[in-house]
Amino acid sequence: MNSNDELMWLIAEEGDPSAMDAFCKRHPEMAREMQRRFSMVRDLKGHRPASKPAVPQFQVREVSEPVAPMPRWVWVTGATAALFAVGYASYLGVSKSLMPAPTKQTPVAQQPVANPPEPEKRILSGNDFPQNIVPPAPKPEPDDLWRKPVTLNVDQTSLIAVFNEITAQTALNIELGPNLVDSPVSYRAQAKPALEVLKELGTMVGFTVFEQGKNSVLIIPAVDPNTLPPEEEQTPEEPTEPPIKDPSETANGMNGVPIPGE
Amino acid sequence: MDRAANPAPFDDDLVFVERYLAGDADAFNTLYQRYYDRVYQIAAGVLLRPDDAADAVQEIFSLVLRHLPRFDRRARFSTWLYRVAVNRSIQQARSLRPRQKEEELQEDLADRRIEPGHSGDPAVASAMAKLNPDDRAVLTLFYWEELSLNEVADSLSCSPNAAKTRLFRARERFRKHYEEASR
Repeated sequence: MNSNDELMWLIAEEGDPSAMDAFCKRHPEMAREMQRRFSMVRDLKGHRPASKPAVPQFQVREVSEPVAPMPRWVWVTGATAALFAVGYASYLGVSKSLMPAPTKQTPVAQQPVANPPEPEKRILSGNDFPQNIVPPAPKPEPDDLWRKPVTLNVDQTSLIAVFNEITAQTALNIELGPNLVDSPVSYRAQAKPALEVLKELGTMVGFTVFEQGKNSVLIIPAVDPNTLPPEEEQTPEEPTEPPIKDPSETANGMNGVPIPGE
Repeated sequence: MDRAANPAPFDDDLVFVERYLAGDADAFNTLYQRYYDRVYQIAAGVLLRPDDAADAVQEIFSLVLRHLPRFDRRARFSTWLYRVAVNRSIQQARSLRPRQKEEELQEDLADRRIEPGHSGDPAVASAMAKLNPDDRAVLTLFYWEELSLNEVADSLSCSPNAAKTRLFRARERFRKHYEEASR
């Protein structure tokens, strides 16, 4: 507010017409504004309520007083504390959401899983090892179940039970061919591949193992054509004259079932 | 009342205050009679309606009577009384009709629901009705009660510079409404 503005208000509040005329003569460009303010203040002062002709009797009243406002420092402190609490809560929420979810701890299976997960394949390169060190030979990845190790220590145990144990340890599906005879076996193996175990058993018991994909094998009773009796070679449809038996051939024991282990 | 910040003379109001506190009930009635008109002017300037102002005056003096034992004698009794009057009037204006439309107020003023003998300038009435209670209080104290800026500051519980600023703003707002109403 400049000095002329303040002077105009002062003149208007004083209500002195001569002072107003003097100001208007000195500052004709502000004469209109001066007169306007003069009138306004005069009218405002004149609008003052008239005094009551009689003062009414005083009557004591119950007046409810408003609660005293808290000091500003209380508001500032409270607002600061509230902002801090909100910020800290946001920080906790964000940090928890960024933390990795806890991995589910599954109990160790008592029995092998039917299809165990394949180990992560990673091709080792020369950069993985320090210089002048020959990298170890890559281990065979037992993606074929018949390559899985088997540990057996059985004594006069049913052959079918042994097959079941191999399946339990490797999840290998063992299909049995027709005419396989369940006979007791005694066998010991320590972490030996399942296929090798089955072949050894096959040699012992008399069956042949055929691989059928990665997860299955077929057990076929072994048939040695040289151990079959001559009459088994003849087809039943063709009637033939019985051969003349050579007494010297029957003495070599080649007329019966081959003897296991031989 | 002189606007200059002259040294305060002896406050003879304190005599009646002490007499009342000593047990003289008539002493308070003397103060009531002495200051009723001025308190009514303040209430009427803020509340605009005479009935509201009359009720507010009774409440103001009731508050003064209740808190008289805690009156701080470092200030003049009139200054303290005006402070109570202004605060209570503003509080009443805010609570009585918080959502009163401006048109309703102006209709009441146009119907001459005012004191007899009042000049009743419509432009002033219209401009006052458009102001908020705080602006009306400042203008009432300065232009109707003719208090100095220091006394206005004491009544408003603020510094003289703050009182000057509030007066300047209230006056500008009043002028805007007044010039609009005068066209």
